[in-house]
Amino acid sequence: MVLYSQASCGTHSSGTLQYFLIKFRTCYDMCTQRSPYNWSRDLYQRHGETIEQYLQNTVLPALNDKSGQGGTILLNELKHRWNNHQIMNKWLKKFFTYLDRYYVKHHSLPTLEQAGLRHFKDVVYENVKEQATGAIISLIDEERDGEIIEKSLVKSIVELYENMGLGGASLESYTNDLEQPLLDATRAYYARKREEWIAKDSTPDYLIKVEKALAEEKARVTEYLNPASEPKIRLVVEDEILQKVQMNLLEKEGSGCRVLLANDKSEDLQRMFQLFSRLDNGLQPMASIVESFITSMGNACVEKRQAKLDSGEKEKNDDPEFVKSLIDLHEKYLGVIRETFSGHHLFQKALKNSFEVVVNQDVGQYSNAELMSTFCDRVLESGGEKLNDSEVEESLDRIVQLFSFLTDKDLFADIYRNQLAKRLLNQRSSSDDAEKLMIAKLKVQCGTQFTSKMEGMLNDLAVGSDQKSEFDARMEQHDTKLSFSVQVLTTGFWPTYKTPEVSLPANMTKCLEIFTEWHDAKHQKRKLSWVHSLGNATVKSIFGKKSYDLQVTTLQAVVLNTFNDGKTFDFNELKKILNLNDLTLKPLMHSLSCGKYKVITKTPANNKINSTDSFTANAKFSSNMRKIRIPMASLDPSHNKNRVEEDRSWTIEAAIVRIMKARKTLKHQELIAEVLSQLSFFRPQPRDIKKRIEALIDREYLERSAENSDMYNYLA
Amino acid sequence: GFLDREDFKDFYKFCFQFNRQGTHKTLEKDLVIALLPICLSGGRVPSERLQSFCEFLETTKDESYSKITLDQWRSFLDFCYEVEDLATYDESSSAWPVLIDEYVEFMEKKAKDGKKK
Repeated sequence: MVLYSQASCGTHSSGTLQYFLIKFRTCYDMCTQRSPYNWSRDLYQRHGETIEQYLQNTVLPALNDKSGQGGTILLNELKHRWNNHQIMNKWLKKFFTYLDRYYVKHHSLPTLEQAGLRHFKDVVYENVKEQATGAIISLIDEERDGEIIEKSLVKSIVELYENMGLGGASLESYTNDLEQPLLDATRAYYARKREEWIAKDSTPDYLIKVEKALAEEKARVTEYLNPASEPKIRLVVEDEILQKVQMNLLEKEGSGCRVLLANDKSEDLQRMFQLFSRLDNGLQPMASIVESFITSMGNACVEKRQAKLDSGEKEKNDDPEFVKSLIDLHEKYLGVIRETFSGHHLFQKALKNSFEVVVNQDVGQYSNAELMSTFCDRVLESGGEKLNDSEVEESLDRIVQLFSFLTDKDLFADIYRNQLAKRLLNQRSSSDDAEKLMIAKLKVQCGTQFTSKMEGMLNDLAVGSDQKSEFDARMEQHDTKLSFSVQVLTTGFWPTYKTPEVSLPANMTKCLEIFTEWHDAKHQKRKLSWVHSLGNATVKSIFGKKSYDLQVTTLQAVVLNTFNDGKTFDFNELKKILNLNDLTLKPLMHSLSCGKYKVITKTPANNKINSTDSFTANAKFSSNMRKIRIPMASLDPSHNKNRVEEDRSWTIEAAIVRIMKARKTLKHQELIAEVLSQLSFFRPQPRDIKKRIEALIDREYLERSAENSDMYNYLA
Repeated sequence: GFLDREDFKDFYKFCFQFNRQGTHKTLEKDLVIALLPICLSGGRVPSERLQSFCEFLETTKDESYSKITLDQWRSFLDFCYEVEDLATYDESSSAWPVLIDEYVEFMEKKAKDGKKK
């Protein structure tokens, strides 16, 4: 048969259209004759047999011939033979299209193309694949070691493998015969490299090599392997050179994660972060190291403060250096997390955990809550830090961030309120807007209830200033010779103050009466209590020929008034006249007779007020300044720790009752857990909660269950 | 004893209430220390437990225990019934009054000091 002999030479004839048509026509004729002259079946069979024989007798021997001569030679031969086969298959298919169209379809046989491929696979591929795979892997390993290889050759052979997966798009042959051995070889290769590198490289250097290797492997797949291999190869490499030595890399002495953090090696850390992100749970170990590192840095700040106190430095409720060091530390690592760790949540959590430990370590007499509040006081008071508006905002923002880590938030609130009151009442606040800003930030952190009293305080002042002009007009109608204004404070918002019932001079009493009348007309339901321990006055005084403006407290003014016209009184007399007790009168007299500006002369002249002392105005008093401020020790304590404790008891009890009322009956441990989850501003010990439970049992809000000693019942 | 456990609990509760003075809801600690051996006589409660508890009450310097509440009184008996071996006591999950927690702590410390000698 002419057709077959031509086909079997295996070369591509430069067929003209004519040539093709002749062949096609011949086939057509053979297939359309009536039986027994219909040659379809024979043709089909012969097609297969011829191909098979050709492959067996010509192609396979040629390949076997080249097999001992080195990988590239075999591969080249294989490439050549495969190309030929593809061409032959294509033309045969074209010639015998008629068979495909009717006979093959009719009998559900493999198409000519499929049959051709099948033959190649069975005869050639199966016999050669192992060697071919071996050759390819050798080449790849060479390339990994830095040599140049013939990529296009490998690519062609890979295509062969891809086509050997019969059934259309199946990659079965590629996967089993090439990919799997390649993965095994890759694993072995990188295991070797890993051992080499880990022994002598520092962590950053090692990681650079990892980065490079991963990039190379990725490029390799793109260049000549099937895309399906990319994730598989990547996983093998990641496993061998990263996963297996993860802890080793992190903890390496001299170059591990901790060291990199200590030396701010952001590029190396970023690389480490990106590489470990690839692994399952790859970032947790790194985040743990970061957390412990930041904690130790924070602890160093605390220890520094401790050392200062130990060295005998006087303890104050103000330590701006310490607070600032914590703020700076937090800012620094906020930035590191943002830029080096892409703001990843594990690292944010690490920062939060470490600061929750550090911020709650109190040393010395004053809690960190108080130190932080005083820090705010400095920022917010006039004449404190000289900051512009945006610096103020930034400072407040940062202190609130630090505040968010504090367990004893209620303690902070109590101290903050006291300091706020002082700023507001003494007009020492630099900016109303700044005060509002801070309160707003606290509100965002903690909710409305937390800041309601503070807002109430500001509101009182605002109302006061609104109504001031109205009251001023009323004052003008009377002639008291005193310029007088009143600030009304709503009880409950403000700290509690002492209200000494000092005997006021007549003109002052008159002012109070005018105000009370005016006020009561406006607000019938309100009751006023005068807080004379607060309040300021300017006393115009004449000593000798000079006149001075003395800026004093209300009580000091009342005392000064008593000494008009050169009168002399002893301590006990003063007590009676003024209706004040020792606790109030002593510091009062001290400020006027023992301080820098001795406007009152004390006999005997010493630094302590005794009940046997006598006092008179100091006729010889003089000063260069005209306006003189005479300070006085505050009569009210800065803040009451006991009150915070008491408030906590109430709060815990209220929570217990609330929970039990809703649940009616509850197990002990569940009750404790519920209570803790409801308390946002402090964290009591379980024993303290138990004590409150016992107190409530005693007051018959709850009872222990008779059936189960572990449970409580709510008593309505 | 002539009463079973549940009935005895009622009697024991009555002992506390009977001894209250006037409108007070609590008993003085010294009175409790004297009363307990009387109320719990006859092996109601292991004598060692009773003795050591009284010792604990006597030695504790905590002001809040200068008066004992009904809850604390009753809990002691329930505690003796339910917790025979102090080694099994777990404060972190215990609903017993803090007084009992501190008693167990006292006993643990005693055992440790005993071992040291």
